[in-house]
Amino acid sequence: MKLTDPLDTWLSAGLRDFAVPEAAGSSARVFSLDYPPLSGDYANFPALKVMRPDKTRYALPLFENEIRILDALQDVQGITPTIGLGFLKVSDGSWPAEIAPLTSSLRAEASASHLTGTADLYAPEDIEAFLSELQVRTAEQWLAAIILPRRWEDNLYLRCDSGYTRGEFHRSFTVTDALKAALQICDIIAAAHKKNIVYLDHKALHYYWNEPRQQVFILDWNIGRQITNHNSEEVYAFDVIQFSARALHHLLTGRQAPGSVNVGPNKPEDIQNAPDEYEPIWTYDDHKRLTDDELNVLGEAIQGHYETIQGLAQDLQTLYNQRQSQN
Amino acid sequence: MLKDLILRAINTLDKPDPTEQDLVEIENELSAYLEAIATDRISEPIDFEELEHANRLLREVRRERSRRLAEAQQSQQTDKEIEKEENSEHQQPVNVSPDFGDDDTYDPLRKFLSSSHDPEAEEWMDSAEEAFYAGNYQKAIPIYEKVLQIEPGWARAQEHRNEAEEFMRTGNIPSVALPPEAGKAYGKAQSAARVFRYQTALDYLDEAFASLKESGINRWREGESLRQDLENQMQAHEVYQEGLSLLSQGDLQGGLSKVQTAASAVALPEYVDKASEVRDDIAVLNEIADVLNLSGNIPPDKLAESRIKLDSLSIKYGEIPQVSRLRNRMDLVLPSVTETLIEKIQQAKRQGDSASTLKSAKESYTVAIESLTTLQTLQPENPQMRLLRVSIQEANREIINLEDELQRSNQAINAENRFFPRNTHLISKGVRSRFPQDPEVLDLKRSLRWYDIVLYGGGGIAAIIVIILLFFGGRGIARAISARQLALTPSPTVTATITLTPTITPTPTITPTTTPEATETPDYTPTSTPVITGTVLRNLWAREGCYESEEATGRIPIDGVVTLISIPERVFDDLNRECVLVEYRAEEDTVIGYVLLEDLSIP
Repeated sequence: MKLTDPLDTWLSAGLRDFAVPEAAGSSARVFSLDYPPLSGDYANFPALKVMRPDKTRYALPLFENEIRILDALQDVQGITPTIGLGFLKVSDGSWPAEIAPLTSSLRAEASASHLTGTADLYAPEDIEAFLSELQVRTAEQWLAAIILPRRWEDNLYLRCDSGYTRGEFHRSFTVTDALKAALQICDIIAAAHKKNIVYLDHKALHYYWNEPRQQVFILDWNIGRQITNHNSEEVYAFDVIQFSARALHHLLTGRQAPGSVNVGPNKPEDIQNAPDEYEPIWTYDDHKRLTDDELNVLGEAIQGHYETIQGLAQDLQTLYNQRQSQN
Repeated sequence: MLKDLILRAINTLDKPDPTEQDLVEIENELSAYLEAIATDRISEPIDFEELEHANRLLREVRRERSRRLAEAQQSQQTDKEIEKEENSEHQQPVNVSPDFGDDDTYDPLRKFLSSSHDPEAEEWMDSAEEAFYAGNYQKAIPIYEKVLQIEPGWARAQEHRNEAEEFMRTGNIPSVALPPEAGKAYGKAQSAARVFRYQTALDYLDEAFASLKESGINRWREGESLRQDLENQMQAHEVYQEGLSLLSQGDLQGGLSKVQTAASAVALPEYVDKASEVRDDIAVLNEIADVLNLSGNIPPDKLAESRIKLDSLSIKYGEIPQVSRLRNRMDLVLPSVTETLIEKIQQAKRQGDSASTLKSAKESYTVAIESLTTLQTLQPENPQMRLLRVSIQEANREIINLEDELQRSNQAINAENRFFPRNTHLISKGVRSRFPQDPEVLDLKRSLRWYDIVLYGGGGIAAIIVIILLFFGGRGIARAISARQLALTPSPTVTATITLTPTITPTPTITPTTTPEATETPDYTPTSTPVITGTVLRNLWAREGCYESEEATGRIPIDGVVTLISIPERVFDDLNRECVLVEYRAEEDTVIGYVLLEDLSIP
């Protein structure tokens, strides 16, 4: 098996790739994994998410968290499921820098293909065995890794962020598309809430739009939490506000709600300390793009009027139906 | 077909160093096929998974081509820079994969992602947009102009420059386009104005104007309009407060005038409603005065209504002069009105008591009760009211009971035997005796006629049968006794007693000798028949015969006790009235004669 191109330094939209500095600097690195048993018949190389060697202490609980959450959500449509687990120990070579492989030479420079070492792989169903070894192995300089399907689709951050679209994203990402994607995200969050899991790290960067299937896919659950206290309604409500202020606002207006946690390598405490209410501020572009009803729903969402994701989904469905009826 | 293309793409990419020609060919074929699918020009069913792989591989192929092109472009740029700055080793990073130009027809995002602008213009544009969205239009306009000098066709720059200029020139800046600080202050001013804190609102508005001035904006129509509005509101509020003060002092007309002025100035619902309320109250006071000044008798119900309204206004405004005047006048007219009202109640009660139908009785009692309510309003402490109420309530309750009786009777008669409706007869006894002329009672009585016929007819027949039975039974018994006596004659003991009878025979022999004293015979009669006495019911004359055509034998006073003298036959006068022969013993003499039987009371 071989680690090849980095996947965490760039994103694609349509037929073009973009270097995305916001994706770098987190607790893990992500590379394309060239390993035939997991590549299928059509060279569909999966992604390998491995903890950063210099941040193992910080990364360890996040990895454990993500593995448990993905295991619980294995059957939920729209998540990016675990297809394997592993421990890596690099014996030779150094980890490449965070470089977007947008030229042939940069590709070579950014590739991890020169790394050599040992890998112990586990099937997803061997999760308990894997987790039982996690602490010890990490202490012994092994790096935990999660193998996931590679998200090749358009990243919604590129499709909607005004920094990339110069306010003209109505041409590539209509409000109808945005509402459709938001509704699907709501379904995924609702399924997670049903299993007592909150996502919390809602940023457009984590959502991908699969055009053939017309389906949103979501990844990166390491900041999410499993709720053990069943009466923690406020935690779920906070998850709804974070989704509204960061993702929904971004999808509908091209930017996050003012005051919300910026896109970047966010830490759990950044999210936990985020405000639980945001003041709606609309620009000319917002008024041009969105109807009054849409502005109202979005405004209420970021002010915390929706206590459940189902309530928000219901209003988004109404807005989606209105848009559909206008077409 | 799609699967073949996928496999070809994989093979091409799998090569260590695929040629540009191979990459272009497979990219064109894949993109053409995917476009045909997207535009529904291929009818063959497509598997989602294959479609995904095709899209993914198309991107991989394009990515490889982009990398090569970007590499070549970067090399050229580096060479140029080296020529320009021989000692520069700095390499510009590539942030976006290169655009392939107009032949890149498939990419659905190309139109918006491709940047065809001059880099310098883009840089200026970013600054201009930043200033524009910060509300700093004075700063944004010249920067937009710089952008337009470099790229005159940049529509967005032109549009925003025009908008910024329009804002500066006209002052028509919508609140969302205000500089953030001014926008916040303006929002607070609006909030304060909504809760009538006008001075605070004005302070915030001044703050907003100050922020605008800092941004170089000297005109802001919305703000000026709000300032004007706030000043009007403040003045109107003052006038309104003066109006309220006058109202509390009892000057309703003066207060109304002020409140109305405030309402016409700013048309706040609160002012308009208050003006309308005061106007209505004044109208009510006038109405009460009209009622109290009515010539002749004041209708009690109108007076009662006026009293309620006056009490209500008194609570609202206190004992202001207008209310006091009306109350004094009301106290003057009240006694005569209540007196009339009590008479009316009593009359209605009497009518109800003597009513011949249920309906009219009920109507009368209803009138009485209504009048009582009016009396209660007018003079709650009237001493007669309690007695009247009790008696009317009782009478009304009785009517309700009788109505109930009638209703139950009507229900019962349908369930009972029509020839003998005994229960109906019993239930309806009260209502039949109280309202015999009521149409419904009459109907009921018609339905009960068979009951009387059956009851009295049956009783009569039964009595006759009993009499007949007694008659024949008595005769039978008598015959039986007679037969028994005859059968018992031979008994020696009894015969001996009968034998004594002939020994009396000598007594008749004495009778002839004593013939002149035959008057004693009557003395003998009473011993065998009981003496019957009677009392004379009026002063009358005893006569020699029956009755008035005969000569009087003596006078018998009223309550005189007479003894009936037996006569062999019953005697009757010309009018077929029966006479009896009586003896009346007065103190001095005795009157014997015939009197009419009807003038006697015989115990």
